Amino acid sequence: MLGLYIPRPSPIHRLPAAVKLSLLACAGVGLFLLQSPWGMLLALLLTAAGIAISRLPVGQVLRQLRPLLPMLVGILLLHGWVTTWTTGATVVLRIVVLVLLAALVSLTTPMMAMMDVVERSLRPFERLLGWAGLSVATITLMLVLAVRFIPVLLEQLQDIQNAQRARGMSRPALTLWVPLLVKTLRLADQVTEALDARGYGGD
Amino acid sequence: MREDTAAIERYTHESGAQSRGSAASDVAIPMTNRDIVYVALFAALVAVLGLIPPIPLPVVPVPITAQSLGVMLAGSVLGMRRGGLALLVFLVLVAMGLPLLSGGRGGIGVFLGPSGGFVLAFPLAAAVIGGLTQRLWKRLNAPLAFGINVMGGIGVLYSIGVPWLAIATDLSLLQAAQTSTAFIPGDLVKAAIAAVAVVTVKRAYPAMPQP
Repeated sequence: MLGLYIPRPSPIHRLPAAVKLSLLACAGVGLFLLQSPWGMLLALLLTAAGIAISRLPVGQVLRQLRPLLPMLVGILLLHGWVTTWTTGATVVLRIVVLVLLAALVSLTTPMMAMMDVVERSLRPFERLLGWAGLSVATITLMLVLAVRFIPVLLEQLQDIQNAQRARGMSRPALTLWVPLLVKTLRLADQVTEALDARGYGGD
Repeated sequence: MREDTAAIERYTHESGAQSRGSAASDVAIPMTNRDIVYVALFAALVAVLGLIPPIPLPVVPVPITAQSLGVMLAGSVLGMRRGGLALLVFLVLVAMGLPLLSGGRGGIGVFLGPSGGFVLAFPLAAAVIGGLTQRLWKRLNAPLAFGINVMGGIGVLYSIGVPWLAIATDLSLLQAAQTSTAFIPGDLVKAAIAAVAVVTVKRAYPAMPQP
């Protein structure tokens, strides 16, 4: 399963994932404390500089904004009507900067590096996790298994959709969900058997 | 594949250590292999449902996405603990950069955007639905399941999503609520579909383990 990561030789790519995530968190808080649209513009410029340094294809970065465009326009208009255009502009710019910064982190960090950060941040809580019946290894296994089976379930979903289309139903109908659930449960049984049979897991 | 094997081996080693009686889990029931697989597969299911394009419905003002239906399914089939975990796993995968949210969105950006609250509420919604479904499992029928889905899938989701939206867009709570009402009819339809699906599977697939 491909992530958002795009490899490039850039200093931002070489930054450790934990550093990037912490910086992002700080930026997130900082941007909410900032009130003026000019401050936001400055932040936007800095973000643009970051994107340039990262040598990422700009189109890919901007693509992260695309799903938000209708909502951003709506927010701007709503503010123009109800409060002020300035507030609207500030809000929209803030969202744009946040999403772009987050995209910068996601596009410059491989999934495995992120997984390591997750693992390392969970380690101090191993005891707490134990009380909930969990462990870091368990959580890692869940993550890995989930990624592993996304293509499998996707294929099963498409099989069901094709079968339905062959019967003349064009849109996902009620009868999509029951077979999907049953297939998922059966797959779960198979995978559980496979794990058990290999002697994995404690008993 | 190498990551899979490494993860499985590490898991075996650690669980082996547990059953030999070392520190950790002596309070809650540890997760069985089946639990782990259920959590992982339903996380994958929610991810896959994000890949279905939004469906326009005649009765509903906004095209509906299938993903929050997955939240309701995960909750009612897996129960509180596993359902909540499945959605947490899903969120971690999204945060790690996989484009699994409706519309191919992914990365931390989705949590920072205006609808971030709705997404962050997924695990809690699933847990609430799961807990209620477990409590009422014996008497579960479609109307009851529908009510549970509405409470968890809509009630919980909106009570976190709407304030988040208000903060992110600098609107008042009322304004944020008003803009969100367009999605409620679609969510009601989803709650109904999920309810019927789960009750049907419960009757037709008696081997389905009790959540």
